This record gives sequence, C-alpha cells and structure tokens, in this order.
Amino acid sequence: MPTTELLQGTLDLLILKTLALEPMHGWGIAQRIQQVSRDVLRLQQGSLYPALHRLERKGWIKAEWDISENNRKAKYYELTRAGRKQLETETESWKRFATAVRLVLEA
Amino acid sequence: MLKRLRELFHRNDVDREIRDELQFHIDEQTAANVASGMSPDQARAAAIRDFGSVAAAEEQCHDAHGYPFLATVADDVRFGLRLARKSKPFAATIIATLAVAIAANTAMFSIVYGVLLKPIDLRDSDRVYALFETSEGERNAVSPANFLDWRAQSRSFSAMAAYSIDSLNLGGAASKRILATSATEDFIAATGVGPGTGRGFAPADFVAGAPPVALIAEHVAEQQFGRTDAALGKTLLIDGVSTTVIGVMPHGYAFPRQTEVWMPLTFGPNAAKQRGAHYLRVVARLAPNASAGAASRELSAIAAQLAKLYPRWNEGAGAAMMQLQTLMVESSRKGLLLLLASVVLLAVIACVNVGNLLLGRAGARVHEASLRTALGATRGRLIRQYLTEASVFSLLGGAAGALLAWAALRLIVRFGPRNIPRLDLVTLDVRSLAFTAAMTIAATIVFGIAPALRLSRGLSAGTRVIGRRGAARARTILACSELALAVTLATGAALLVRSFASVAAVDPGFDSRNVIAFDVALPAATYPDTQHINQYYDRMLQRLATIPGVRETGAVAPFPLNGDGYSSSLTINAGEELKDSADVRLADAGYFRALHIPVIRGSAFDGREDLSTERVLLVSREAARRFWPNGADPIGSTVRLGARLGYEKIEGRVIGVVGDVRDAGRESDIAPIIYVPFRQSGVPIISFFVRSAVAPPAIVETIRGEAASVDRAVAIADPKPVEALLADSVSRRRFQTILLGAFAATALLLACIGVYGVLAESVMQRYREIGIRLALGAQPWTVFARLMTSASAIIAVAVTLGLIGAVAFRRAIASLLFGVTATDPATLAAVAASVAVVSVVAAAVPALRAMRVDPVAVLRQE
Repeated sequence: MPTTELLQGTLDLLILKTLALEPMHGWGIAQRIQQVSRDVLRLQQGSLYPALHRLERKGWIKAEWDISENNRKAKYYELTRAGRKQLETETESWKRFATAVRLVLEA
Repeated sequence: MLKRLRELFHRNDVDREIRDELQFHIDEQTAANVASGMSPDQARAAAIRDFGSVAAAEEQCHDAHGYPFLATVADDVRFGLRLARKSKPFAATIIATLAVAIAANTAMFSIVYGVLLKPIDLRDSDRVYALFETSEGERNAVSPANFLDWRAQSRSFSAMAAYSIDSLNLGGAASKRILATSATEDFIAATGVGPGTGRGFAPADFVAGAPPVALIAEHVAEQQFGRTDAALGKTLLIDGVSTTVIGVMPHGYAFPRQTEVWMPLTFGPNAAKQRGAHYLRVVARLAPNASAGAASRELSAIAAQLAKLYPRWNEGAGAAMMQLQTLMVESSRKGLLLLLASVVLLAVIACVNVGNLLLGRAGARVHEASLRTALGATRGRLIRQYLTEASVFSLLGGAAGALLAWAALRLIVRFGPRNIPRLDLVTLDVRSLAFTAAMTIAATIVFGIAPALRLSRGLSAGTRVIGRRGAARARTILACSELALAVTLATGAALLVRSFASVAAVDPGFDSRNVIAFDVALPAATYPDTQHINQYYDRMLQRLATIPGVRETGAVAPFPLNGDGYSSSLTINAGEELKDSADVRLADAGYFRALHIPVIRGSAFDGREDLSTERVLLVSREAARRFWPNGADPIGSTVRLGARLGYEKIEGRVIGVVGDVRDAGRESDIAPIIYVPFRQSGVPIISFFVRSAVAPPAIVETIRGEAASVDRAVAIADPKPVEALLADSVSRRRFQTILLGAFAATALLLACIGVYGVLAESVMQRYREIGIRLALGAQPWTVFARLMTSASAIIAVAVTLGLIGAVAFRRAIASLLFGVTATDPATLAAVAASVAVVSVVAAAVPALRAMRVDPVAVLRQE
C-alpha cells in the first residue's frame, strides 16, 4: 500500500484531533494516527515529539507523567480548552482548504 | 512563566524528562514489534530506524521549549572556554593578538580625538577663527594698525579681538612667573567664554589711565586668596603694578596657551600708524549669517586694499584665517594621523592573523565537526557554536585590550612629549571604548563566521578535501598579505628610526652638557631704561659667579630652544635694506664661553661692552655667507637693524664671525644670526646660562636664592638643564618613532605567527606524503628544502608587495622624515632583508619538524 508523507503543518492538526478523544502518550498518538489513516499516513516518529513539546509550549495541550498500561512511567498529553478551540479553527480551515483543492481538481 | 524560569535553571531535569519520554517510545515500539513476531534485536533495530535520529529529536524538543538560545549560548560559552583552556597557546595567541590591536587602536583613537578632534574650550568653537597676516605664503603676526583696519572694515565677524601673550611676574615678595594675555575689548565675545564669577572687561577698562584690572584663572584665585569668590575686588601685584581682580575664569580655562591672567590690551595713540610692528595675534568669531568662505574673501579684499594704501609696510602682504582649533593642533596633526593610519593597518593585520589562526584550527577540527553533524547537530547550530566560541575569544581579547589601552594611555599621557598640545588632557573616552566594542564585534563576525561556514559547507557537500585545499590557499593569501602589510609598516618605522638617528647626530653647534638656563622678565615699572636693566644684569652675573662649582656664566635673549626668536631686517654699510631678515640674539661674552660657541675669525665680545663703549656686533658664519656674498669680509662692516627690540637702537661694527648654532632645536635650520652685546640692547628679558662643574640639579636651589637676593619681585622661571631642553626639542619625534616602532614590531610578530601557522599546517597535511617520500629514500634535507622553497616564495611576494606599498604611501611620511628620503634604497633593502630573515626563521621551525617525520610510523598508519 502506498504511503504518503505528511503535509507541512498537518501534524499539529492530527495530534490535536487524536488527543480530542482521550489523553494519550506519544507512542499511542503515533499508533493511533497510523491506524486511523489505515496506514496511509506514515509518520516520521522522531518528529512527533518536537511537535508535542511545541504544542505544549503554546498551551494547546498539557502533559503529565502517569503509569502506562504495562506499568511504566509515561508522559501523557491531553487537550486544554485553548487546544479544543484551536482544533475547531484548524479543522474549519483545513476543510475549506480541502474543498477548494477538490473544486480546482474537479473543475 | 515560573515554570519556564525553573526549566532554565533545571535544564538537566528537562533533558532527563525528554530522554525518558523518547526511551519509552522506543521501548513500546520494540515491544509491539516483538509482539508481531520479530526477534528482540530485530525489533529494537526496527524501532530505532522508524524513529529516526534520537539526538535530533532531543535537540528539537529543547528548541521547542523556547529557551534554546540562552541555554545553548551558555553551553557554547562554556565549550569555548573549555577549548581555550585545553589549547592554551592557541587561545593565548588569539586573545593577545586581539588585545594588542584593540589596545593600540583605542589608545590612538583616544589621543587623536583628545588632541585633534575634541572641540576646544570655547563656545561654538567651530566658528572661532585665528586671523593672520601673510607674506610670501608665510603666516605672520598682525600689526596694530592693520588689526584696527580689519576690525573696522569687516562685516563677516561678530567679534574680533587682538591679544598678545607675555610672561610676567606675579606678586611682590616670592614672586612667580605667570603667563598673561593682554586682549582687546572683544576677546570674551570672540572666544565666547567669560568669567564664571565677577564681571568681564568693560569699555572703561580700556581708556588710557584707567585703573588696572585683571581676570584670573581659578587656580590663581585659590592660590592667592584661598577661595574663588574671595578674589573679587582684591588686588594683585602684576609686574609691580597693583591690579584689581574683577573676575575669575571658569575651572580649567586657560586659552590662549596656558594663560593664568587676562588683562585689557590698550594701544598707544600711535597705534593707527603702527603697521610695521607685527606682534599681535587675532581671534574672531564668525557672524551668525556669515560663511567662512565669504569671510575669508572679505578679509583678503581688505588686506589687498591695505597693501595698496600702505605699500611701504604692506606690500605683498595678505591676510588669511584658519579655524582656531585646526591651528592649535596643526604641528602635531601629520604625525598623529600617520600613527593612526599605522594602528589601523595593525588592526587589519591582527584580524587577518586571527582569521588565519582560526581557519587553521578549523581544518584540525573537521573531525570533531563531522562527529557533531553525525550526532544530529544542524548546520545553523554549528555556525552558532563557532560564532559563540569566536565571541568568547573576542570578549576576552576586547576586555584585555580595553585594560591595556587604559594602561597605555596613562603611560603616554604621563611620559609623552609636552609639546603636543592637549596630550596631557587625553582620557580613554566613551567613544574610544565604543570603538573598541565595535571592533571586537566586527572581529568576531569576520573570523567567527568564515571558518564556520567553511566547515559546515565542506561537510554537507561532502567535499572535505577540496574544502581543505581551498582553505590552505586562503591561508596562504592571508599570511602573505599580513606579511606584506607588516613590511609596509616596518618600512615606515625604519625610516623614522633613521630620521631620529640623523636628528640625534646633528651637531647643534654648542655644548649643552652641565649647563643650566633660566630666564627673567624685568617689569617695565621698575626697569624703565637700559641703565636699570644693565644694573640687574651685572648684579645677577656677580651673584651667579659666587656659587661654588660655577665655571662660566653668560646671558642671551630671547630664550633659545623654545621657538621664540627675534628677527630683523638689516642694512649694511648704509646701503639698501636687505630683502632677507636675520635672527637677532642679544648676548654677552660669557654666553659664547658657557656654550662653547667658537669664534672663527676676528674677536669675541670682551665683556666690557656698554652704552659708553663702541657699538659692536658679531655675525654667525651663515650670516656672513648670506649677507656678505662672494667671500666678502663682514669684519669692519657697519650693520643697522630695522627692528627695535629694546630701549636702544641697534647699529654697530662687525668685529668677528662665530660658529653656527641650531638654537631652536636639532631639527631647526641653521639661521643667519646677528649677535648684539646685551648691555647695548636695552631688552628687559634675559636668559642666564650657567656652566657648572657639578651636575646641574644640585645648584638649582642656590640659583633661586641668589636671584631672590637681587630682586625679590623678579621671578625666575624654572632653571633647566640645556641638555634636557635640547632633548625636548626632539621629544615629539621620539614619541612618534617609539610608537611606530612598537606597532611595526607587533605587526611583524603577528605576520611571523601567520607564516609559521601556514607552514605548520602544510606540514601536518602532507605528513603522509612526507613520510612516504622519506620511506622511498628521499633525504630529509630535500624535504626541508622543498618546504622552504614554497615558504620563500610566499615571503618574497610579501616583501615585494610590502615595499611597493611603502613606496606608494611615501607621501604620507615624507614630511616627517629628516636626513633620509621616503624611498631611501638602503632603508628599504635593510627592511626587506631583516623581514625576510625573521620570516624564514619562522618558517624553518615547522620545516625542520618535517625532516623528523618517522616514515615507519606513517606507513604503519596506512
């Protein structure tokens, strides 16, 4: 199955969307994105963490150390209120963008 | 915010958290891979592959936290310091290079600013001009009548004042010599500075017969009356005249020269007719709406008009003006600018040298850099690191340089020549410091970025070898150019040293050893005629002769060696007045004996010359040659002087010819001199000369006592050894020579470091090649010779370029030379030879090391 590199700037949106469901650690987020996209979106896993730290700095997500399913200490991220709002705006603008691209392609 | 601050201080905690987090990810992935059927080793390898560079992720997580700059800068600074400690000679060389260049620059800029550029103490000093008469391009003092006409006719100046500076006696008993300026009404308006306390001059002060008044300097007020405001209304005895203090000038104000007392200058009723007596200096302030060009044209037009009206005195005379500040520093200007140019050159050499050194080290650090890149350092990160390291060097060098500059300035101000105006007031000013900072930063960027760019570009393009070759060429060019610049500087220094030697070898025509000189100025109030002056003179000579150890005593006027001089037109045997003027000295028989000035022909003064004896004269050999051409004999001729110097008219029979002297200093031209017996002149200024058997300082106090016993009201100026005065006349030259010599030596040292560095690196790079050559049977000395041949080529090119530079800049230095031309072949050859020798030695050190390369060790490495 062919895979697709992530478009610039879409990683933030995917992280926010994923975290909107439940708090999750970094590995979980990577797994989830791959599963939900049916393995089409191929994530350079190393690039996930700088993005998480960046989003944390912006105040859209917050982090806490907790115990994972297999009893290890893991850093869990969850969406903040500002993050939820950001997700809405970014979803909106992404949809507008996608519609526009489709219109152009199908014209 | 608090959290971020905490993060800043607990960087290690944050680091650990990030590592833990990433480790967790890889462990999870490994576990998942194992669960899908991989072996544990395979699983871990796959997890790491999927993840990408852990180090890069770590680094980027740092950056995401938003404090990376400060934190990494701190890291880089630490790293830079650690490197500096690890390679001490390297760091020391760079820091010392920077420090010396920065110190030399800061000190020189401070001096040039303080002496040449800093506005003088006058209000709007750029609008204050000095005005002079000119004749045949020479500047002249102004006569009273011409001054009065200028002032009446010009419209371009808001104020114009004439003044003259005299040395007078202040106080009755225990009097002291002071510098007094007598000035016309508008002096305060022209200079723009009036008394801080009390009043300025009023028109009534200038009326004939008005009670004498004076403005005094602050320190005079404090010495005489204890406090500034206590001085007002009090009286001072100035040259025996009781004078009322009407004001005290502001702190530190001393214009003109080192004036301590300012008094009204009044002209006699004949002033409007006095066109031939040139003794006034004129200062004027440009009117608000006038331009300097228009004022100068107006002044010239007035002078041309006066030349037409009064051809007898003013024929060929013009007028000129110059900003007062420019005039004051004119004599020091060229020398200082030359030093400034040299020091800038030195700075260029220093920057080139530092760049050269860093470039060389960058080559040696390729390995470290590739390791860092492999570990995930980005190109920007590398550039930043090298920049920060360079900044560490620059900051250390800058700080050391500022400190060194401060120390150097203190030394120069303390021991520098007295005859550079305002040098004693030079301080390390803010601008110079700012300049230091700017230079430091510029140096950082120049040599910090270059190696960093080269390193990171060379790596990313995978062209390490090519990069190193290019850098080697760049280093060769740098070393070559710094050596060339050093040669140019060294040539300048060598020319100055040669000039100094020529000056020192000049025979002044008299013997200054063990001779003390001091002068007195007799106040007109108590010495109204020649009789009184001669009485003082006789009694002083008697007293001086009684001092134990004194061998000879004599007198002359004016005081030699400080640039003052009397000159006069002369008429020989009642013929036409000669075009040339002669210098005039009023001397006695003892003067020639005390200074060992020989009588060449005829007879000397016999010591009995007086108003009642025949009027006689002596002429110097140069005067005889010039005024009695074609070998005519001056002895027996009658000479009349046009100028009136004292109470007596001077006309007498020439009785002898004496040796030439350079009594204005070693560098002065030999002037034609006419000697008049002191007692036949009626001049109220006397310089006494005392030749003693003992060292001069021992009898100074005795001289003071004897002088006081003759007349307490006449102060004697500091008795000084004539040898020291003669040395003072070359102090400015010595100053220039020493400074330029030091700059050139530093430049040469830096250039040698450069040459050494290039060759050392070349040996390192060709280590393998050299080893293989030796293994194949090459003689060690041929290896040495090959290296030296390439070094010699660099040196030869540099020396040639440097000499071309020296010849190109010959105009800059020509006017400072003495007894040697700017393109003197012997000097150029000597510089070329010595630079060549020194730099060949510098190159030989690494070349000799190449001879000792062990071929076995090299082959084993392969």
